[in-house]
Amino acid sequence: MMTYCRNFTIYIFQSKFTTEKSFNPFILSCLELCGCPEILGFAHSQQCVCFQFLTELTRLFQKCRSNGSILITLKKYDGRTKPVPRKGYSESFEPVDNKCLLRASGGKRKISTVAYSNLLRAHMDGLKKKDKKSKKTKATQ
Amino acid sequence: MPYFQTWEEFARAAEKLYLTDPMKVRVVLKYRHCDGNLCMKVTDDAVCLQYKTDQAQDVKKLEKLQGKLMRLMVSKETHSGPMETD
Repeated sequence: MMTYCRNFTIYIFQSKFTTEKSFNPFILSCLELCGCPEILGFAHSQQCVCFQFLTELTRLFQKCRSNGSILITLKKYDGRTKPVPRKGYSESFEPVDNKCLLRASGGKRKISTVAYSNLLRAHMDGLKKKDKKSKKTKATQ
Repeated sequence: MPYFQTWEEFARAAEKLYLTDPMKVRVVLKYRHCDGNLCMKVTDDAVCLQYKTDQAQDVKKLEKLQGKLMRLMVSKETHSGPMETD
């Protein structure tokens, strides 16, 4: 399921941002914010997905302004792609990774990504910025 | 499950719950802009801890806890996987 979700995310974005130049200013500001200009090279597809996640998250926040709620879920993910076998069945699965699965949903739209430890900062910056912004506007209303 | 009244209590309980079985626990942050409230839930499908707020200053606290749990999730020093033992 996870791999499916990841591919799905990539798919959404590939249809919208085909080239690096067409990335919107939000992502670029995110990149500046987390101070990692090397990510601008988009050498690693996973890094791409993470920023795609951020843009989609922004979109979700904007969409759910008037009504509806946003849910952001965090879960530990160890790289498992098959379900846990029932008791009595032998299993050769070794947890390989220490990753964190990030999901966000608002209404019908669901997005997900797998965060690597070195990219967490970027994520949290994005979340913080978004949350604060939303809260601030709420306070001024 | 009722909402926690104090943040400290919630934070302590959430961390404790996470450490009992890291693979089962999920952290859900729910934000409703129209009602202006933010709710944090930490659950392992058996125990459910919730905290609700409508204060902007609480965002920082919530985020700090989220970051802490996230760090625990990705750290290499995993607690001897409870999932394999049972």
